[in-house]
Amino acid sequence: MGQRAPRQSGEGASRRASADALLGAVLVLALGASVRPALAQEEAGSLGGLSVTSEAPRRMPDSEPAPFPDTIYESIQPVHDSATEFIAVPDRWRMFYAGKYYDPYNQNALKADIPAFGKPGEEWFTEVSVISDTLFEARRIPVPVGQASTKRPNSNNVFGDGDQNFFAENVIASFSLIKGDTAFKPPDFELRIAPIFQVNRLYAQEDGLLKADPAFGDTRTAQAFGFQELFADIHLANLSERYDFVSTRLGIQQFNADFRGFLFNDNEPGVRVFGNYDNNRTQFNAAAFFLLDKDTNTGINTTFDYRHQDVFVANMYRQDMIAPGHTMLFSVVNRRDNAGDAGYTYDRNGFLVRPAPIGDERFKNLNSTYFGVGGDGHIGRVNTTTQYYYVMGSESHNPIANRQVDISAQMFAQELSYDLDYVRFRASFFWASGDSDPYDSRGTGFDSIFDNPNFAGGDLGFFQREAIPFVGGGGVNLVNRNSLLPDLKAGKELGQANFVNPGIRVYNVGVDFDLLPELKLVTNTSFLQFDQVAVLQDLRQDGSITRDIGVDLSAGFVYRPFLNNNVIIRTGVAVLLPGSGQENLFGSQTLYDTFTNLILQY
Amino acid sequence: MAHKKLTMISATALMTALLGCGGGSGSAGETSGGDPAANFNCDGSCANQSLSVEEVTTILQQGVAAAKGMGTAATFAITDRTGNVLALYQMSGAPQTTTINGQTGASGGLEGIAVPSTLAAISKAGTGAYLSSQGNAFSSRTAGQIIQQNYLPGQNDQPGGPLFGVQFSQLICSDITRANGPVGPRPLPLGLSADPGGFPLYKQGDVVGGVSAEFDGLYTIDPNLQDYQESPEEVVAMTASLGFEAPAQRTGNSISLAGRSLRYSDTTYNEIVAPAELEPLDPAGFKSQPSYTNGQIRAGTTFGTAPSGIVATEKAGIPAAVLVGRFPTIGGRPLPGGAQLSASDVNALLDSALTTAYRARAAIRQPLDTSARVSIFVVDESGNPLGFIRSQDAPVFGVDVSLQKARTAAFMSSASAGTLLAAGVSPNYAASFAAFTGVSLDGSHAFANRSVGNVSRPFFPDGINGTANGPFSLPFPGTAAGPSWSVFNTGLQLDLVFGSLVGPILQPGTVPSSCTSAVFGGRLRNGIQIFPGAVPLYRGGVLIGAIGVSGDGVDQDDMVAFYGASRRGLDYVGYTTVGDPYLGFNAPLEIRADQIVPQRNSRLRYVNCPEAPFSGSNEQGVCTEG
Repeated sequence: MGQRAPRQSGEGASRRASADALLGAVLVLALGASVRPALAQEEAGSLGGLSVTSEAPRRMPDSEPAPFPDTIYESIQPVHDSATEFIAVPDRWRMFYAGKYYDPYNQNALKADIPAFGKPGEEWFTEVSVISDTLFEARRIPVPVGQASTKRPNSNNVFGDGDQNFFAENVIASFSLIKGDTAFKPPDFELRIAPIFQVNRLYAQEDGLLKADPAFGDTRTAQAFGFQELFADIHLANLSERYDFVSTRLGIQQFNADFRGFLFNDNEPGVRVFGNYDNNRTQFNAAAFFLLDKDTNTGINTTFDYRHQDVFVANMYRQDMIAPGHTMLFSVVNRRDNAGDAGYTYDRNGFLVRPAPIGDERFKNLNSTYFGVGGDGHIGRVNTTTQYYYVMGSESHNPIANRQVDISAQMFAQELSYDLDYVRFRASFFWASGDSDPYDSRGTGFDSIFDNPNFAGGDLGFFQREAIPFVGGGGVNLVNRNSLLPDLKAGKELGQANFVNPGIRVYNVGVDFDLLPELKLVTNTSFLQFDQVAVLQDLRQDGSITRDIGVDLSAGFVYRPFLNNNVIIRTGVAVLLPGSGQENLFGSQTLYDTFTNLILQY
Repeated sequence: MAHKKLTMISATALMTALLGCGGGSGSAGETSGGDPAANFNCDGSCANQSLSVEEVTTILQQGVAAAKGMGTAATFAITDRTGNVLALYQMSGAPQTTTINGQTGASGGLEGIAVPSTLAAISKAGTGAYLSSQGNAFSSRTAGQIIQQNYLPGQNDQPGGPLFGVQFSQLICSDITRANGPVGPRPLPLGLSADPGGFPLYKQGDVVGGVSAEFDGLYTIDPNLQDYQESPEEVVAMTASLGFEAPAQRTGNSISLAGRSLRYSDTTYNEIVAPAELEPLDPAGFKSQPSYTNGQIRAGTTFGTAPSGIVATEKAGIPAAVLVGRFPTIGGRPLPGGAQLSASDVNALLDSALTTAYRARAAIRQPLDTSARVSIFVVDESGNPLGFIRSQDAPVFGVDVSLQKARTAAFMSSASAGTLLAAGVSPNYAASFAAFTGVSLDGSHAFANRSVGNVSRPFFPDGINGTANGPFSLPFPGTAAGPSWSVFNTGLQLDLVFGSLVGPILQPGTVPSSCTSAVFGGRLRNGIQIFPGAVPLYRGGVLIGAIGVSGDGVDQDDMVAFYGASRRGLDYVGYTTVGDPYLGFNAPLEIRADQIVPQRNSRLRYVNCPEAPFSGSNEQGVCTEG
């Protein structure tokens, strides 16, 4: 397709955008919150389905090859007075073979390739997608034996058998109704509904892990239905001849506050005004989200329990800053969490989640404002992604500090990569500041809103993929699923942010190999350290906990047998070789996970 | 090797004691305990202090001024660290009685009984003194937090408090806490108190006693940990303690028990206003209380010296303490085949357990990585004490509790437990137990105290609200007719000692010769305890006694008992030929209570040893045989 303006190709861009959104949504649910960052990332860089950023040939460590040829906006070509060079075509949609309703490869009214109804100039399009996402995962995480009861006799020590396996099947459908001449002009109106259903089954070896009641048993089957998308998108105005525009989107929608999902990458109800300017060199968002609680065991949005948490975002992307092909992001994000006023909240398994079962367990509200600067693209042949956040605000009562704390924390991430033939070399660094004095009035441990990062190995890495319960230190997780932050909160799905935490430093290198057009191998090595250990030492009453978490080794394949996204098979394996700090916290055994993921899409 | 290493460690500890104690920058007063910001840095080896009569007077005067300022009249008690009542003072017009209320709506037991305010005050002050040490400062509010049906109280489906049941210890009927003995530790008339308003007193970083205020007419517990209660009794008692308050770095708020911090007070010292002027005390305000005080104000004893009743010693190269002239190491009552514990077995067990505690990271003490400090009793299979040792600076409450625990484990594991329970206490808890578990209390199983605790909670499994009570407990109010559960009506534990606890309240001056009825002999002489920290001891499958431990976190207590009696523990201190080559003195695996799976698919526990328990080591899983 060569160089094209965003959303030029009606079917192409539209289909892809929705496919990506769907895939992103699928991934969000896999295993209670898993977002396939690679996929979400594309949406991340998009505005209302427009691909606006970072179409550079950069591939995420765990992503499949980009499904369509990439486009680099080195610059936008000047406008030629060339309209007359075109020959008018009466009905360009039917120029090609129109297939049956079940054939997505040719022009299909169900895929918004051709109008479904409406008179010329006011065509309406429909788009239907169905995705099946199947996941099997086996893992070993540190778990405690049951406190009130154990599964086996002779369970005399705190740590039990942490081998678990997990199976999840997601079905997501997406229905869109789109009005407009979608070839060049942004659609006038879109209505999209993406219901999702998940059923999963988790087998665990110890009592008290699956439900608060230790008598529950060793296998938990859970199911949930929710909406990953449920919105109306209304075109407000065009700002230029090149279809710089302003639109608004109302309802449950995917949103990523930065390039890599470090801060807020979720599907939540909200109001968003977005658009572009200056020949698409500038994109902007202004949004308010009113978060939903997630279903405990699937990570799917509930229908519809308010999380008592609101997020306000204003950001701007600017292309070709610093270097052509490098986009920068400036953002301010405010989060207000008033769940402390709502009393005790338990998850579906009977575990307390608000307030978190840690410290003095008092109710809290919090207000935090993030100031972010990010960059993504390439400088010469070096691909780069950068993100920095400073967060300030306050927690009305941090349970670890036993007092009100003022938030002042930082996060920094940098990835550089270089392509050589079919090999990509990557190096990345991630830092989330920790809190060196848990009892003072400052919270200097960085925490996010709802992160789903695609970084330093993404969901291939053990530490990032798995939730690790903070055994012996309270009923919280040291780190949550699909997160790098050791933020000691009671789950991403329902817990509240906590800015008194140890923080982390991640040093990562990786190599990706495009072995075949259909097959990609991704490898990663990460060295992980806590940034500050005082919080862990105090919670565990153990002054000898050291910084070193360990070495996280992972490898994964992405196989697309038909060179498209209709069938994707992903597999991965990761091990965490414990360092001295991890040994002290959880013992010397090697932790691991392995997963296989089959995605089928219509 | 091990001995030598430990000696070196203790020498280091001694150096620390000499160099590291006292008031840091010297900003703290020389004679008064000093300001809460002062970090005395005491780790358990600071020199012991005591309260003078003048200091006791000052504390009382401050309390009286605070009560007057509040427009009320209070009853005050001050004790020293081993429970000697230094002053019992009642302002004119103070309520004479206080009514017991466990806040669950329960009936029966001690619920609803009006007791003299003086007795409540003594229990509250003694609680502050008994639960605290140089490493931790706990108040009666802290006690209330850790003994309720859920931990934290107010939360659903959380197992009960770690010290569930500790309120029924330090009883006047105990052979440890004696009203008429020449020295302490002394009994607390209502056991340990959960009623806010009892605090420890400190001087130079050392616990010198406790103080309390009682005037609201309610002897109760705080079931709601989310509010800041603004307890007037706390405000008055804290005002009384000014100059002798606990170092801020030692209060419960600074201590994480399995990641949850403890409550010290709902009021902070920043909110306490020192009285402008102190008035002379009214001589008529000093009250006598038979068995506790003759009405004279007196100076406190210095902990660790003979008058306190607990004196310093050294054992296995570790700074330790014993009860003055009591509980020498002896062998057990003869058993068929000579299976009984010999004096040297007991000595080995005490060495091993004390060493285990010394190696262990404390769960409830600051600074981090100081060793656990506990009290350790070994008893024979009939509950006779065979030996006692305690770590330097272990909290005093553990002396009585460790013996309660040891006796409980020995008793429940014995062949006669079911028969004696059926004969000696009503209702028939033994029958309830058999019906509930399908197991008779006939010696077929080894019950650790954790196992006993599992079936002594108002919910089974522990903490799962709405389930039926364990067979040694009473139903939670609202779930069944008849007597119901509260911290003042716990079931078997209270019913065993009810007469001996209430009798002396109704007839002041009487001192029962045992806490339990004659049916039990001396087996449960000071009552049972229903939280973890004891295991029964065996030789060749024959029950020969039990070891009980109290003073640190319950997982640490469990470990000191179990690991101390285990092959690994005995080997560590060089007793490689003592005990079974595989089990040490621990029970055979196949008879431990964790083989029992009662109703609801919920197995009983035996012990639960902590994560990375030993200082300077990442060793995990230490309570595994072999």
